[in-house]
Amino acid sequence: MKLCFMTARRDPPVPSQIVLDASEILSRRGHQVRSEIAEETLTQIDSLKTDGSLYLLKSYTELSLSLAGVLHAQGARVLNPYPSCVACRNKIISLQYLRAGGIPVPRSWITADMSLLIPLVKKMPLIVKPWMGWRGIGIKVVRTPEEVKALPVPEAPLIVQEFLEGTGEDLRLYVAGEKVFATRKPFSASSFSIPGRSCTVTPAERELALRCGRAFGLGLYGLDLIETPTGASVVDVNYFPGYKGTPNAAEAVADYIENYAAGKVSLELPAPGSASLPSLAAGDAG
Amino acid sequence: MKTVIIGAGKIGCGLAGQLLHDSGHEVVFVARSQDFTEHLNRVGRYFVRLVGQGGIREMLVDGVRAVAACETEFVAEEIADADLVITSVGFDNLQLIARLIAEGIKRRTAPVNVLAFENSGSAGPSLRSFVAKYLPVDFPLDRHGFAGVLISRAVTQRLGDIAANAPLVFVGDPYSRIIVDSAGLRGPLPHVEGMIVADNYDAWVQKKFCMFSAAHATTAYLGHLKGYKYVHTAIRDPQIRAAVLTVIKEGQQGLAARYGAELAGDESDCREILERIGNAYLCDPISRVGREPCRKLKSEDRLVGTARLAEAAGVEPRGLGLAIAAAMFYTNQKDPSAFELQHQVLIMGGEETLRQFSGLDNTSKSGRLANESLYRLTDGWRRGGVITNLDKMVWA
Repeated sequence: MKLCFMTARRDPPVPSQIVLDASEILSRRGHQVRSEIAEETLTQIDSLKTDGSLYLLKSYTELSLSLAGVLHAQGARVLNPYPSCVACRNKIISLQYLRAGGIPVPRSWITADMSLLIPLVKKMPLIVKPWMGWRGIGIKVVRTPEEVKALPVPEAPLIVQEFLEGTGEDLRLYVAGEKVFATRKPFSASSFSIPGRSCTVTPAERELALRCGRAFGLGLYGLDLIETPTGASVVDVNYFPGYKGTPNAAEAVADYIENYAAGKVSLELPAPGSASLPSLAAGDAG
Repeated sequence: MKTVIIGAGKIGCGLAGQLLHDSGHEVVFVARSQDFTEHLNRVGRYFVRLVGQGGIREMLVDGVRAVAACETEFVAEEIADADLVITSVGFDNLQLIARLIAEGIKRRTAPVNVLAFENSGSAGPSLRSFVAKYLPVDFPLDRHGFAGVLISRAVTQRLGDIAANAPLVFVGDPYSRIIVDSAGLRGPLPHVEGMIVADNYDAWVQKKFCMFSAAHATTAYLGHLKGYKYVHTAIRDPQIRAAVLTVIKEGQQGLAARYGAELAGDESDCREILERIGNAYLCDPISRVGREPCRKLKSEDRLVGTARLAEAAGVEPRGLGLAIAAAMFYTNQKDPSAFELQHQVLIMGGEETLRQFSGLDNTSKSGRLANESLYRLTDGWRRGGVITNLDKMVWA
């Protein structure tokens, strides 16, 4: 089978380790594997011909996402599926998919008028995020009306969420199909320099992770949870992460890609209103 | 005289082993790697190559042997009759070796000093508390000394193949001075070349951190932004050199205000630091100097700690603010700390990450300057990959 990783420019300019490792495994299994960076390729999209490859969207850039959209529109197979990637990439929309999937999330708002946040910030710290973030650019935590007033006029849509001050551990879950990996990091002023450590996944964590995947129709993805006094909350979901700190992830990723390419597994973004579980936003209780 | 050195890395071999050997000690290493242990026992020697403006000097360190760290009993036996114990494992790994030291100390009749070559003000007391956890409550641990040691030498490379029979070569600069915290010692130390026992150890630690270490890290992080690979090439960039000199002077002024002008030094100290960083023989990569950015951004560490010290002296730490911001952009796929840093930035943004890592925020001048630089850098960084003009913030 032909496989094409859609990757992003990196500094230094070497592919991500998970792509390297998974590519090697898939090549050994006889698949034709290549990588392309949309920003470094001239692609004529009005007459784009696909060659039956399965396209593996690793990059988060807008150009790569758009190219994935073109491929999707042409009927090419993209993993994760383009609609699922768009849904989780857009932080505003992703929140609704998470809530519809019964995933605990922070309380969230949207507006373009930052002054409307002032009554809110008097009750709780807020985190302001661009709707399609990249590397944390534009994310700001505000705790006082003065900090809200100092926020720049938004250049792009923002999502505003209750900022959850972690009190327990930061938990990162990485998923490849049915395989779930976890890394934990203690949350304290002195622990920030300590990298997360790989750890066992509890049944509850596994169930939550797989539910996130079903909420978006994702097969290769990661999610970040923060433990708070009122319970854990999902603060971020991203497609095709780096699986950093998780041994054996490359094998699981390669297996999933192979099964998806062979049609043994499929993914689909849930239809609107199809979720039946109640929403469980952190702070909703009481 | 026998010295046990726990940690057979660049500093363990390239500095501690060489100094102790040249002082007439029998040197026994405790090595994490079984392969390295076997190499050292098979070859029995290595070279230390000191490189700098004065030329190249190569010294043979022979008659050495090693014990694997996993062989707890053997390690304990070596520590039991050592005249001196040294650690060189990195501060974050001291907890991992504490049990080895405790087992050895249990078997001793005579007291011993344990010197932590960890470049940290708190390494001695911290190591003592870690070791105490493995000893009975009423064990007379106070008989033994645990002292931090400040080292000057940069050892940047280990050359050679541990599978071969040729001796390895450790490459470093020619600085041999080591400063020992007198407060942690119990009884006299055996003679060691280059050793100074200091009552004002904290002041010396601050001097090193606030001037050399701050400058070194600044060179690495600004160099990374400009696409350099080595610190000796980065420091030759006029803009980086000017920025690093600013950082050195801000630190020097902070030191002078707290510890006095004599400790802080003068222009010659500043020049010496720039020369050391510019030592091309060391071939010191930015990936080594800039490693573990999360640790280097801690409140008491070289960048933020120095900024606070300068600010307390009435100095506006503009250079340090830029250095702190530059550190926030450090990426290295092979560095777990850099990954952690970038992941936190992804989740909560640069400003909040800096606040949580270092305690800096807009309530302090240092925090405002760091955040100001953070925004200026972010604004250009989103449009390009490498900065070509640091003063005008032009990106390519």
